[in-house]
Amino acid sequence: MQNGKKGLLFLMLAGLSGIVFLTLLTSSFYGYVLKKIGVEHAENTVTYRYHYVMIIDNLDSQFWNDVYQSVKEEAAQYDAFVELKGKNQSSEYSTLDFMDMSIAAKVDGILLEFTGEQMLEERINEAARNGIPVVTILNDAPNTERKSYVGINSYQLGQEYGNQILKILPNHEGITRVMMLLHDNSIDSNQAQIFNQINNRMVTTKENADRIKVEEIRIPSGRAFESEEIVRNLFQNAQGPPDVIVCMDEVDTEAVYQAVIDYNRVGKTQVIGYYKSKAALEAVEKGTMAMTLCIDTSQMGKYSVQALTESIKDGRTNSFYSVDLQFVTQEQVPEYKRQERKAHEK
Amino acid sequence: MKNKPNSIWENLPITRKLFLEIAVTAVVLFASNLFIYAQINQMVERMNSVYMSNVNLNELSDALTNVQNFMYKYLQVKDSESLTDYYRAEQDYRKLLDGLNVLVTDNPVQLLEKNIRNMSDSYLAVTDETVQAKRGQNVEKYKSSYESALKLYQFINHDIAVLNSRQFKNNSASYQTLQAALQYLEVISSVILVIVMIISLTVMMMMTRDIVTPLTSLAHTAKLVGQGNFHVKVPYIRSGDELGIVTKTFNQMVDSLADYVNKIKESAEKEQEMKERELLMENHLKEARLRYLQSQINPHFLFNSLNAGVQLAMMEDAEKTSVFMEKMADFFRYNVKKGAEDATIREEVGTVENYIYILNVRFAGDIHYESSLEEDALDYSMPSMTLQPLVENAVTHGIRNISWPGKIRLTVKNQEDAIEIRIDDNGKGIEKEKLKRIQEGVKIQEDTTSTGIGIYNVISRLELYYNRKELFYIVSEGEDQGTSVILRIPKKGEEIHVSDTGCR
Repeated sequence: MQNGKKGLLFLMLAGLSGIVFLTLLTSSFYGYVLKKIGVEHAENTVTYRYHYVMIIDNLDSQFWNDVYQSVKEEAAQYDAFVELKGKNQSSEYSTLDFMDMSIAAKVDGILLEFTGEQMLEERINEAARNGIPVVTILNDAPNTERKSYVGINSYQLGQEYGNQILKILPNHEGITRVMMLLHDNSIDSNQAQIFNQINNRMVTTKENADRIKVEEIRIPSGRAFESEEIVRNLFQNAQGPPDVIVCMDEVDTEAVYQAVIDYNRVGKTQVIGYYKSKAALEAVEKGTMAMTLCIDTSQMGKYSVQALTESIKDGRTNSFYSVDLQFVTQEQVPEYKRQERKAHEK
Repeated sequence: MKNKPNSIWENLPITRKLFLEIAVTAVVLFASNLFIYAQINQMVERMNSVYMSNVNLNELSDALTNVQNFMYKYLQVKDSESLTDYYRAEQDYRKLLDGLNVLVTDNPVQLLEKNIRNMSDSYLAVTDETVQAKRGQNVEKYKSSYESALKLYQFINHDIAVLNSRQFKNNSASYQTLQAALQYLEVISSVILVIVMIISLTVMMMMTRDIVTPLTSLAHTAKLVGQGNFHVKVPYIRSGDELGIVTKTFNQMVDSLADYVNKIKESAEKEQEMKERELLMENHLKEARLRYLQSQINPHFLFNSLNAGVQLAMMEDAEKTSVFMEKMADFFRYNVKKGAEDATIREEVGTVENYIYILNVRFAGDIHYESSLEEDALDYSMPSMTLQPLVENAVTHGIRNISWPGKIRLTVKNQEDAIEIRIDDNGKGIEKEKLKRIQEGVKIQEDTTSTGIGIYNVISRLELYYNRKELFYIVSEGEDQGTSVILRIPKKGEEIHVSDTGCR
């Protein structure tokens, strides 16, 4: 009888602990569920003082996403939240519209990738009139009331491009063609600057002056699949594909890279890619692509937020923040990959 | 282990125990279910609190459209009605806007709300401006303002749509998760239910065993008791419920059963003893009766008187009288002497001869007596006063009152295992029916003419003496054919009686 009682007690305890365990399991499960559906997040939202908007051309670009991450982190330190606006497949708005929206929504600051659209400069001025500071990033709009520009020095970048192109020039008879794919329509834009500098660099070297011809193709923004079509045309041209292609956009880079493979031009057509997307890094590693340009996105984000915050608090700021850039060649790929992994692990 | 709650539990009646147990089980089940429901309620509520926006987005959208439409109508018609409508719509819209979030957060939904609110502010400012311009007939101004108002209107509408779709997405995701959670809940609650069920079942089983085990042992013990073993007891149960009572009562019953059985045994023994005593007493009675029978024929006085008569007759020289008196005296002396003792056959025969002599004197020699005696049979013993009554019987009922001379013959034969004594007469004989009655040992009451000792007495004395039956036969061929009485007595006590005769 005593034994039976002990067993009973044991059973009771076991059952009780089982129920407690299930209860804990249930509550943790609910925690997980709440987290999953975002309730937890929605409840524990962080409130900020400032509301910035970052307007870019292409939401799908990895480069801009990296920049946005950095901007967001940096802004959080200044008690600000950055809203990202930009085109994607479903949006029917232009950068102009985004500017209008942001002005109407009375945000505290705008980071703008200047695309050179008509009336965009006017909108920048309008924002400035409404007390909203605008900082242009990557592409400058020097003739506006923008507070600051954060990006690369076009002159310096053009020179650097020139140097790199000289390194990879193929040795063959006849004229060597260097093709540059531009996205910018305005004549005094950054990309035009870069083009001019590359041209300068090519022409100013004595030995190459006669045999190098630098060309440009302007890809109009806002039309779907345009770059792909243009790149294909380039390869099917009667002249044949150019010897060096310089891309200023991630999408262009991938289109060109794919075309090089499709038209069996590996090793004959050198490509200078744009940004360190996974495909680009792999292509460089394999040697299919000569190199790719990397811009320090974290620096860019940091500087742009600093510029905005300074202009809000102090009313003025540096008019130009220079961002570091680097050409990634085959030797440097492993290191970049490592960095990439580290960033992911964070 | 003898703490208080335990003993309280044990003293509860079984019905209450069962009730408590079921109640506890039900309460536990109820509590666990309640807990689960509370949890799911809490979750649903939390989701509601987050996603139930204060403003119905459709309402908001309608109000916005109203503002835009009434403004447009006013611009078109410029009537006061549209204007009041416009103002009212604007007011409504502003009221709805108050429910929207104003804070800058990292939650896209809230941020959208904030944008909608701010854009609406701008929009309303523009529409006001437009209306004012229209009132002031500033055509250029109101047209351009209308353009920008329209643009903003589109933006806001778009944002509301985005907000709507985002909330819908969130809600449908929540719905799905909720569904999954509900499924999970089902599993969990079933598991909890099963656990509680197993526990309660086990507890029930243990309790039932607690109840049944004493019952089984009770039944077992009862069986033993039924087989007559009163020294077994049901193991003592401390519990104060019905079982404890039953067990206790049963043990008491077994105890008193044992007592009763002991008492019955004692009384049976007593009865046995009494029976034995009764038998003994019967024996004594028989002996007493025998003595009484012998005392019946023991007249001392007559014997002494006869002795005096012998002496008187000798003095008067009446020899015949003297002999007669002497034989009479011998006859009675024998009675006095042997009344209480055994006699030898010889003495018995002597007495018979004396008796015949006396009778012959009395009846003038009417009786012819013969005897045929085997000498070696005469010294065996037999009860005294046995042959004389038989001879007297033969005289009285046989040869008296007959017309021919009566004869009596006495024969003693030494047979192998017994001595046969035979008394024959040639008298009246006995009718068959009467003979049968005599042989069955029925005492014939009507015969009162005998000297005192009847056949019945002789037969019963013989049977008592030898402790055996079938010693006595009486044979008669019928009326006037004579009667034969045959005694077959065992050989008994020769030596004792030899010495007896030597003493004489």
